[in-house]
Amino acid sequence: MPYEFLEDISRADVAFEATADSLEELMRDAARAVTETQVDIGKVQKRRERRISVEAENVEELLYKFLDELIFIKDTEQLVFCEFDVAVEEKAKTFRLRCRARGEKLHARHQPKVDVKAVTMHHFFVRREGGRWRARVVLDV
Amino acid sequence: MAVAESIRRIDDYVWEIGPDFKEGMRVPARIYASEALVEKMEEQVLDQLTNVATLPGIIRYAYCMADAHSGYGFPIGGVAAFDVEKGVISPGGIGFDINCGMRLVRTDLTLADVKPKLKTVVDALFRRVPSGVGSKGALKLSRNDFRAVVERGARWCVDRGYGWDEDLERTEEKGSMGGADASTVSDRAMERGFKQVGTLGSGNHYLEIQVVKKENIFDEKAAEAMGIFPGQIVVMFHCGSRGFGHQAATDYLQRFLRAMPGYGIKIRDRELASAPFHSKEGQEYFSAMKCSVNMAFANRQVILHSIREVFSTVFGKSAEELGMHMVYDVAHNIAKLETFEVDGRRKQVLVHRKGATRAFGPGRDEIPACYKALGQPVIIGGSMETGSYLLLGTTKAERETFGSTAHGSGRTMSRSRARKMWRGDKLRGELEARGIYIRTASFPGLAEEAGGAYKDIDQVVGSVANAGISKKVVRFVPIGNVKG
Repeated sequence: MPYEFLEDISRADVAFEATADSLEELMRDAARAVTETQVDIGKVQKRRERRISVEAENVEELLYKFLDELIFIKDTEQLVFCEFDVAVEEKAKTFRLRCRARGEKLHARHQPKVDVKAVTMHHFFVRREGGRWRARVVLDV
Repeated sequence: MAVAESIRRIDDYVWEIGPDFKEGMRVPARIYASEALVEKMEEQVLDQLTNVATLPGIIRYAYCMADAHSGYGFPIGGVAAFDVEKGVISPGGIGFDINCGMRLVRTDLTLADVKPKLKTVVDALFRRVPSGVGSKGALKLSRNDFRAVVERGARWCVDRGYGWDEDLERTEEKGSMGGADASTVSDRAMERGFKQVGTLGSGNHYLEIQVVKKENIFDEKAAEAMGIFPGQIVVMFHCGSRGFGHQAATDYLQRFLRAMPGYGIKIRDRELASAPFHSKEGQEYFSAMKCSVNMAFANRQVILHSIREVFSTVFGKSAEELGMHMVYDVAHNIAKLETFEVDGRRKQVLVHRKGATRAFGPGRDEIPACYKALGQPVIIGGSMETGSYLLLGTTKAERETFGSTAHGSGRTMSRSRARKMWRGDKLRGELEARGIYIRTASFPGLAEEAGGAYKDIDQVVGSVANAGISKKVVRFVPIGNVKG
């Protein structure tokens, strides 16, 4: 399972853990978990494509900024995404993420669940363990 | 050392964890709750509470209230006061939803008047007040208007006809916190928030039609003075600063994390990121927080205006004729400079309340004239099934808890667990059979907010009332609910 929601990290909020073979897949799966927190991701259609680009000094900051950008786009453009093509490159101690996200405007047919307010730093990590990438994220909802 | 063994009873409703419990604790931690609630409190709450006790400049105690549950950084239900000169300000002590709060509106309508039109009025409120994931568009504002909103709060709204002058008198900070400079907020926060004024949001945010039952009035004199009578219909709602406040908190949390090493502040949890109150970062965050506070007051002001218009249309009378006066508006995620007696001297301190309500006793300057003899109204939101309370603050709260009390029920289980236990559509049917009509933007969201996922509100309120930090006035029972 690429991501799993955790029950007892924080009672008022939503926590998930993602594991993946590559950093790109980890970013993609975490992005999917953010969509899944807010709507039924299976009901989101690929009507629009939006390019997203973030830069950071380390992989944790990269994931944080990427997810923060998705929340920003949800509030400002009312777009939610179901598919994410992610590329990550590291150059001169800077990580750059480029993503083509596909989805559409929020709609009642997506069976909305709960609005994500913010990515918290509570128990937040991105690390490489036994050859795989693992991340834990708590979302304030 | 297990936390439970370290909790010492001070009296029936006050508990303490000593500073030897954890390395770095500068003060003890105090819990205001009944024994039953303390026993059920999550270990994580106590861990977070004792982490708060390690922050520089904290005065007297790190507090948590009877409704406490685990959050991030501070527990929800947490209170901490800091020395203005030597202390810090911490976004984690306020929360991402800055000035999340409660507003209560009275009416002259009775249950008999509203019952035949309950569905009409709830449906109309659901249409009129946008709610749910990504909700927007109650008010069309330019970016310049929005800048004025965040600097002037509810005052801006009333000046433009969204409400009455008396609404401001009955809002904490008179609906407009001074010193809010929009240049301390990122364009990103402005962009996120400017379409969201007048929207409810989602999660635990709601708008509820409630009834006053005679047997639920605990203090007849105070109730009467606040315009509350048996059989009456009131409207209560809960929401905050929407994406604007969330983004301001996000931006400053990251900035504080980068700045902290320079100030030599060591913290046990990144969500406790702090900066000296008088540092550049501290002051700019305080200003951005005030902008978010104002956004939330404006948000609730526009929602109040929408509620008055809906009632006016449904019942064919003006809001004035319907007696739709605001009772009060409280902030429960905020930091404020307030004056208390500390070590025998009046002293200004920075009080953080995260999921906690200000509860000043009679006579304080901050209380509007109409309530000065009573004490400050405290609005406690319960779950959508169980009811809510109107309380009054006390002088004892000023002495003991920096004028603070609980804010709501507090969760007993995670959202995902609640979703496994209840189904939103089934729950809605069950509640309708019990006389509570619900409209929701989200059935899974409704299940997460089931009454069973929350602590018993009567126990929470009983705890703070018995501890003497609040006084019970009336308990309200829901009959209609718009859930975001």
